Amino acid sequence: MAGCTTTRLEEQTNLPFEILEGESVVITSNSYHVGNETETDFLQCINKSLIKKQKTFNVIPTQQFINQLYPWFEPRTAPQTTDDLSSFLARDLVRERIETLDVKYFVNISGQTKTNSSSGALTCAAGPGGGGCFGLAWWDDTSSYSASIWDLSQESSVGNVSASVSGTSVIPALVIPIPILARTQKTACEELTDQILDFFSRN
Amino acid sequence: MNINHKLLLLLVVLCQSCTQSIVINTTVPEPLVEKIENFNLAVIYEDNIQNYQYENINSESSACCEIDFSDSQLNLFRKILQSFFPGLIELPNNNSEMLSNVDLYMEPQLDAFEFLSPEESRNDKYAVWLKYKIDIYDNKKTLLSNWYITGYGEQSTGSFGVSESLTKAIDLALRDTGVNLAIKIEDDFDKLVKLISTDL
Repeated sequence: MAGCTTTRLEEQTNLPFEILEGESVVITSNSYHVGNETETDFLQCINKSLIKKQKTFNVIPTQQFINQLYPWFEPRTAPQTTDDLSSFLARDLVRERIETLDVKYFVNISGQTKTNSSSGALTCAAGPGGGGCFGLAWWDDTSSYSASIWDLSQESSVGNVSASVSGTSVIPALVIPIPILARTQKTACEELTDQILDFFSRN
Repeated sequence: MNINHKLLLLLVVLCQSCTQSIVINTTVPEPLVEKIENFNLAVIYEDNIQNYQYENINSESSACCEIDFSDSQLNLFRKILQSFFPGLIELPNNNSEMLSNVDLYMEPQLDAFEFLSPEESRNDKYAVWLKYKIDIYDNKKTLLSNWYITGYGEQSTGSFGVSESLTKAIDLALRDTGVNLAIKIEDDFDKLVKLISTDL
């Protein structure tokens, strides 16, 4: 069973751009050195979802791209803003590798899932004659993520999309606990992927 | 053996089996760096680079207590140094002879390894620090410089288990050491070559 969720989507286009069939994009995220908290599994979800939902452009899996560019796309060395792109691309070997991989865009993801509040109580006990739980617990989660599309040829952000999903999860228990979870992160992943695809389809 | 001794023995056996042990098998990718041709570098790895084993018997954290780095550090230094210096020569750490075809000797050693568990840092992350000291000698074994190379890695416990998070944080710290070593060689290698020229 799934709990109810509320979704808010936003989109902004800054500059004209185009992506051609066969060109590649890479999902990136800012480093923990600058306090980024985006979960690794969320980035993996976006990678998988983008690969599954379209065949027009290639999505190079993030870790594969990081390994191809080692040591220049590690947390310490990867560009954190579009202002860093020119110095990043100034390395001949980096530029050549990016050209070989035909990477045109970085999709830079930021955001995280937070639990805003939780309440209620749930007690479980077990004895020789059996066991069970009793009570009611609930909590509110908000998964708020945005994607900034960085054009490597223009060395700037051509647009942003965002998805914010809120939901309340509940676990009522009368002997057996029945979790009714609001899967806000999974919904945000699906919504943000659709937003990114929608953005690229309008070039 | 009375019941108390048996219980004590059982407790000791149980505690032994509870000790967590982690083996690190980090492999770094082939670095994307410009080769430095016509320069002969010899490297002598200290024992704590070749097979470092960390043991924290006083740890109260749930993180761990035994970490076997196996040959992860050795592979890291080999990969980075060989990518810059195609003719890298590796010498045993009891080597005392001076080779006529060597321009520089490098002796890396692990200076410090520290980590913080989520309980200690009061967040949901493991944070790992590595610090290496690299002594650099000219071809007459005169000390030219000391490089200090650090590495930092962190990993939240979110979707990972305890040992997996710590392993991932160490993996990131080792990769970060490789980054800093590559940057140091790019930035400071010319200065070393100038020092050798002055020496001559």
